[in-house]
Amino acid sequence: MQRRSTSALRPIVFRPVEDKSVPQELAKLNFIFFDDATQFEQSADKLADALQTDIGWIRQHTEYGEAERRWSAAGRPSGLLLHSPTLEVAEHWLVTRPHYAPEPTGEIRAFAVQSRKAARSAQRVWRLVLASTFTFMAVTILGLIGWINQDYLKAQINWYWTMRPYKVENFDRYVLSADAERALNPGVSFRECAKDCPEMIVVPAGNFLMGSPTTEKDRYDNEDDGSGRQHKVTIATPFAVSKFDVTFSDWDACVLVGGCPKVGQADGTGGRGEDRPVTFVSWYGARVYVAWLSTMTGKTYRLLSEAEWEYAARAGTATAYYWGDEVGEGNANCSDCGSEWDGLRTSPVGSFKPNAFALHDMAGNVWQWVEDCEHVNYKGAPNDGSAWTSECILDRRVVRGGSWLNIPPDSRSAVRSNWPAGNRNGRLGFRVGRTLTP
Amino acid sequence: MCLRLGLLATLGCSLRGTPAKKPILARVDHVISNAVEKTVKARIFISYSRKDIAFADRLDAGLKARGFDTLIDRSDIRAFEEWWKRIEVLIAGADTLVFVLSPDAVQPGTAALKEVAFAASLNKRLAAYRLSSSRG
Repeated sequence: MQRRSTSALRPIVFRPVEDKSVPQELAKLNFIFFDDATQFEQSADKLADALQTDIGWIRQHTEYGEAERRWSAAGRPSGLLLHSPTLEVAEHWLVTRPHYAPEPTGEIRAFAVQSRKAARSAQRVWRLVLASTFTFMAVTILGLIGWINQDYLKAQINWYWTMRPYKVENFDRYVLSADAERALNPGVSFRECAKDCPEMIVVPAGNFLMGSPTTEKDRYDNEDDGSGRQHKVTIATPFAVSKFDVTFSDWDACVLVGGCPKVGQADGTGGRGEDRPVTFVSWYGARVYVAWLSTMTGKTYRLLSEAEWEYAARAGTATAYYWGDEVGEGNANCSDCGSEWDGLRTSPVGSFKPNAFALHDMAGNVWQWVEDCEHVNYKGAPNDGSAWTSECILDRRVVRGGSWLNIPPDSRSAVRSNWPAGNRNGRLGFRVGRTLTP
Repeated sequence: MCLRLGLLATLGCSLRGTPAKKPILARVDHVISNAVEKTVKARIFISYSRKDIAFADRLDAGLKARGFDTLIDRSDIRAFEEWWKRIEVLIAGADTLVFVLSPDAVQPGTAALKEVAFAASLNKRLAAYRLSSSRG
């Protein structure tokens, strides 16, 4: 585009202006022609050729010049600046001047520079807007996801900040190794934490008659198979039972690290105390605790089955109470058992003599949740000691052992009562079992 | 930016008040310029002295006959402010100024010289048609 016309035309029509009669203003003349009246058409043709030389570039010069004048005249508003893609075309135009075309004016250059600056700043603003928008959207979305999953996130945060450190500190070094667990003999006690978890006692395998004979005094009719016979159960492997009911210190340790819900109770409904059995715990709450304990130890802590509970309570006895057939005085805490807490409140765990398995408070003090649900009697119950959780009557779970407010016969080993699983009151507590690896 | 960021940028360009045009890259500029060269005729402003009006008319006719878009001022009085503003606009819009060069046209203070000086200040391409002395 640049080379063609100028080089061709130059020898004929282009001459430096040197005539002294040509004034200074014409020093910039690009072309000069000489009039020869007889040759007008020929010289006009040459002029026409010269005028078309580089007209593409020249026309842009004209247009940008006019645009610059409009911009200046209007007080240099940014709206009249060159914008992309015209700006890019103009910048390209600036650096591709044909050899014989006049220079772009300083004004046009300044106009292009100003346009570029404005474009850059607009770009920066736009990028900022984009970045802000995306950041805002991302934060909003993350916030929303976080809000929707806040329970999960809280649990995660709690696990990494509180519970896992507690597990490492209080449990990991105390958990039984597989070898140590296999070496356990019946009667041995162990504790898989530094503090605030139940002490466990190994109970031997064996078999027993569950329920009461029809001859037992003050018995209830759900204590047999529906036809007056007791239910024979064989427990094939040893298992562990907590020496005491789960206490408030045990429970509160779980609450403190976010593993269990808080339990509250009013005065005169059992009371509170570090070494007293935890109360106001529903069956679900008890399940939360054993699940938490299992997480902490990596072992299977669980509620006892009803059969396991009675087997552990009897500890080889067939009498109404594990100390005999009469309630006597000072053997347990019930409404009239001859203790200082009778009918008033719970007693500190271990306030009475243990049974033959060295387990305390298997009669009186608080009812103890077991895994099984309610049934009218033992007809159809499993005979291997496992929990009976099918064919339930509504969602009621069995409780065992009687309480500080119940009459003495309710503390008999064979007594089976039940509560809706969600119930919480000052007479309801629990103890834990643990499966032992054979 | 409009090109690089695609769809979002198109939105952005619209927001800024720049119509989202079909993208033109500088590389295509050559092609366009060449096309312009073949189809666009230069806009010519003819600057002359009143004394040379006969030649200026002939030149105007000759250029028009060759397809040029000519701008020529034929007003008798060339002194008012408004007249000069109009001339400025015409010259600014012209691609080339053709000066009919004669002894009369280069007398100091002529409108023709003023026009040439203005066109020079805009870096317009200038061509001169020098009349033979017999015409003076």
